[in-house]
Amino acid sequence: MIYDTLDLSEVEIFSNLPKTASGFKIAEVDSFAIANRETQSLAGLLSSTTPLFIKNYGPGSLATTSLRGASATHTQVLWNGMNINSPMPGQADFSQIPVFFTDNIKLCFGGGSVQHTSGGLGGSLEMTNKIDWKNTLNLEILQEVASFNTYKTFALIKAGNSAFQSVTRAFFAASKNEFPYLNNAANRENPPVEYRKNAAWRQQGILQEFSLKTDENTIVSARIWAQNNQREIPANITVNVPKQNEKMAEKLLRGQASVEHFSTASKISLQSSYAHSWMNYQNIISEIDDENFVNSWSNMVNYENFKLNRITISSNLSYDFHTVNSENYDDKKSRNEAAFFLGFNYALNPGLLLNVSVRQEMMDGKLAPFMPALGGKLRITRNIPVFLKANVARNFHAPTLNDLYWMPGGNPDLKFEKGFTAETGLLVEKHRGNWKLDADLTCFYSDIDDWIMWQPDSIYSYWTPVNLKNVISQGFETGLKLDAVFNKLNLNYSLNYSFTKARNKKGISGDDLSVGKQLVYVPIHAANQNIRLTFRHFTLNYTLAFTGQRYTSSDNSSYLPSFTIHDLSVSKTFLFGKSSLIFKIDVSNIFNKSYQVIAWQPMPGRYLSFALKYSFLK
Amino acid sequence: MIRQKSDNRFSAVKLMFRVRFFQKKPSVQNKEYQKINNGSLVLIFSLLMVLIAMSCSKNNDFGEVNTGNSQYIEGDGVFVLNEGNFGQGNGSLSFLNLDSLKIGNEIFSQANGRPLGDVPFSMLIIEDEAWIVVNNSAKIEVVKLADLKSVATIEIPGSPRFIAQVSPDKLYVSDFSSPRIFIIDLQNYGVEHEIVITGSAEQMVLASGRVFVAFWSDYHFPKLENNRIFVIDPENDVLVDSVMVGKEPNSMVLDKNGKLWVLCSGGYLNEELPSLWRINPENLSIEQSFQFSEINSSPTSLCTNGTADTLYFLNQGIFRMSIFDDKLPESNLIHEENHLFYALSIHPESSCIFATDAIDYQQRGLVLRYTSGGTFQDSFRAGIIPGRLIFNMPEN
Repeated sequence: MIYDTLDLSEVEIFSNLPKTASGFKIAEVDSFAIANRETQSLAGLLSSTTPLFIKNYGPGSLATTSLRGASATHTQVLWNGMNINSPMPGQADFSQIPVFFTDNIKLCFGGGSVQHTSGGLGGSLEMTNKIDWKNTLNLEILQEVASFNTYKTFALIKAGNSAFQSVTRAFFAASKNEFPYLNNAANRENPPVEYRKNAAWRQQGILQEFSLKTDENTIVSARIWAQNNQREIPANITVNVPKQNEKMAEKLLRGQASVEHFSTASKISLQSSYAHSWMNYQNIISEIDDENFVNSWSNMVNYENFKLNRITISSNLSYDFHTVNSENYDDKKSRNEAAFFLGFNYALNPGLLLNVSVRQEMMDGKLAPFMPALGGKLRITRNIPVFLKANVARNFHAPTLNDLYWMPGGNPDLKFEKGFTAETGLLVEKHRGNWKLDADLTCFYSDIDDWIMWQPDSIYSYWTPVNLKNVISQGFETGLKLDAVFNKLNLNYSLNYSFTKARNKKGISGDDLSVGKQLVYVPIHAANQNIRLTFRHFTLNYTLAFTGQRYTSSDNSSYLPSFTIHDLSVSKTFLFGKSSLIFKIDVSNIFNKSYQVIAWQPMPGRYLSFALKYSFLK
Repeated sequence: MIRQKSDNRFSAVKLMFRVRFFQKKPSVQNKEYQKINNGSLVLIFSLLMVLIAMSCSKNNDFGEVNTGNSQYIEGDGVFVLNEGNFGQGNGSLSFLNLDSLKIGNEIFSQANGRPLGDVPFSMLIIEDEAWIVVNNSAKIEVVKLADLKSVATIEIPGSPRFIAQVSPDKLYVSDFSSPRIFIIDLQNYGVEHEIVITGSAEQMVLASGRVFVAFWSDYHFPKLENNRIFVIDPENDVLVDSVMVGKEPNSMVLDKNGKLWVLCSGGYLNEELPSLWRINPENLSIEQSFQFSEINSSPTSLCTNGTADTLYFLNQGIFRMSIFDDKLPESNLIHEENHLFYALSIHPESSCIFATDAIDYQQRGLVLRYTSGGTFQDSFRAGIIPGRLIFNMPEN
């Protein structure tokens, strides 16, 4: 055992792991990282501070993730329990989700996602908003000016007392986004410097939360999130197109109402959510001007019971209904999803926690595959808190509405994609006086069958989705986190590394060279490191993110080289009584590295941003 | 204390364990604290060095790398237009030399130091030059056949599909997205003007002094019926007439009697039965028409042999019929077996059958060669989604 020589105190690595998911890997994104990148989108935050690979077409452009080698549709994104993946493409675009609108982000890897949703064959990302009942008044206003004509303004008002809290957040961000890049589509050996065109974007949004304690044990909350996104979609650099060929506009409205009631040995919560989105896609050359309307209504009841000695029972019942009105479908389409979840968490003794759960869903009246999950966490040493954890889970992912109904090509006969995951790992945390060390290692195995791919029949036929591949993904993730205080200097260090071998097992024919090969755009290696030093009111943050080679063809005959991006930020806080001013400078991509996350889609080199933030905290 | 190989990129993890946080447990509490801090600093410093070392790579080392490149051997053979995935810029050019039976891949980018573009779709050989229509890159790349070096790049303001030579100094380029045919001057390599038509334009065939243009796709013309062949007078560059055929005419050939054969898929939503038509290009009369029996089938890639007396097409398998047959062939000449045929072409001299198989549409696909009798001979790896095959037969 590698950790044998450690002497650790009695603290768990993920101290706020939900009690109902023992043995599953659920990691929180560092709260400082969230604060440090509050002006960015989720794409920027996740690509630099977590080992997730973000498939990013450029700043402000489509950004999705591949978790443990699964596809973008296999990552479920939840906002306070509500799934916000669009039911049409079945994925969420991280470039359109502002970090500023969330207080906490959890990454649930593999089977860790089954408690709250199905479909997370890779895992899920849970964003939540937290209520601070001690707050009386907190105001923030933040202005950022960055390279490439980028301007962002954020405002926050938190007001209330111990029984009522209101939180208002609003932002406006826009960028002309004409960044210089080396055009290797014009000349591979000596790429000329050119400027990215037709890549401007603009976003504005507001999130309002109200929370009320009607009595000591009951909380009633309401949230409304409205957002307006507009962007130009730049073509890949092998394409010469006239100005502003492709554009996309989106208007989103999401509302949630919930009631939570606590009693001595149980907790019940009810939530109803509604989401409306309007999306318009325009392509001038192809003369496309499409409108898509999506309405989703989600309802759930959660019940947890702690009455029995050493057993926690959690259950969940949900019903979601989506309707889509799209010019790309021949008719108005809908889907209804009902789900039931029941889980038992049993503390056999203080050193062994066991978790058993079942989930059953129905889609449009069709019974989905049964989803059992089993997890456990064992303390393996007496004096040192070293934990061994393991879990297995079954999961499925339903075809997206585009897979089923897109005109032409949609295939209503598609089967569910079926997943099985298993993982095991070690966790350790040493916490003593003024330093704290966390480490973890998780090995995973996942098998996804009936993986849906789109392909045509012959040269003049349209593309259609088929249940085609069987993907086995294996690998491990490891992380190290150290927090220490030396006199007035605070040091926070973190390192993450992930190794992912995601391979296709099923060949179309004997000539299919993709069998046994790494999936496209799944880096085998990904790592990042963050160092933060805080001295008095100075903070220095240095991030390094490494993305390994990604294959661009399924037979692995072509690839994009690895790249490492270094970011540095320095901030200084000035205090004036209850007010404070923070001045921050960010240098992103310090070494001006030219890189493409996706082939022929350039990313910006070095760029700067300056931010000034005023806060008032009563 | 710590030795590291600078080329060992992923030693960070190993290193983390090697540093082995810090020795044995000391008896005095704060001594341990001191030691651990030292250990931690060493650890952090080492990791930092490793990660910085692994990030030091050449700054022009960022583009897509193809490991399947192979050399272009000029001569008697067939060019393969590998379409690549739409929007991903991974189209390429291959050439299979039929003397040496060696295939050259990524040969345009090797010759010119840049990629061919997004969806190279069709090509025409004019004397010692190849004119390659790159559909989604909206351009025509003109290269010398000898070494494939670029002669000119012609920007086409639309979605170009096919190219046809209609007179010694004039080319037509058909357009998918707008009702136009671009006219290109062969000497100046530039778009001169355009002909307005009443639909989109796909394949073009010169017959009896007129240009026949297939109106294949109604994607941009939902109110028009895409079941016509436009007839254009290439002297005055005007639309003079049209002939009605089946829905979605996707390919056309001329037979040895100068008759125009048109294959129609029947529509992508299988609106009508697929059909094959024989048109007299002199008087535009329909001389013969055949209906396929299966509404769900989508025949494509109509082509002829060198003597233009036999027709071939794809309809899952490869089918063959004589131009004198009075019905469609009932069974295929070549069964698809484990292949999915994407495109088809017949060698003009040997009548050998060449077909492509894109496999999963994400890997380098196959060019398959069969004898004129339909016996499998050999296969070659080309690029991603190998599409049209264009024979190059130098004189002598």
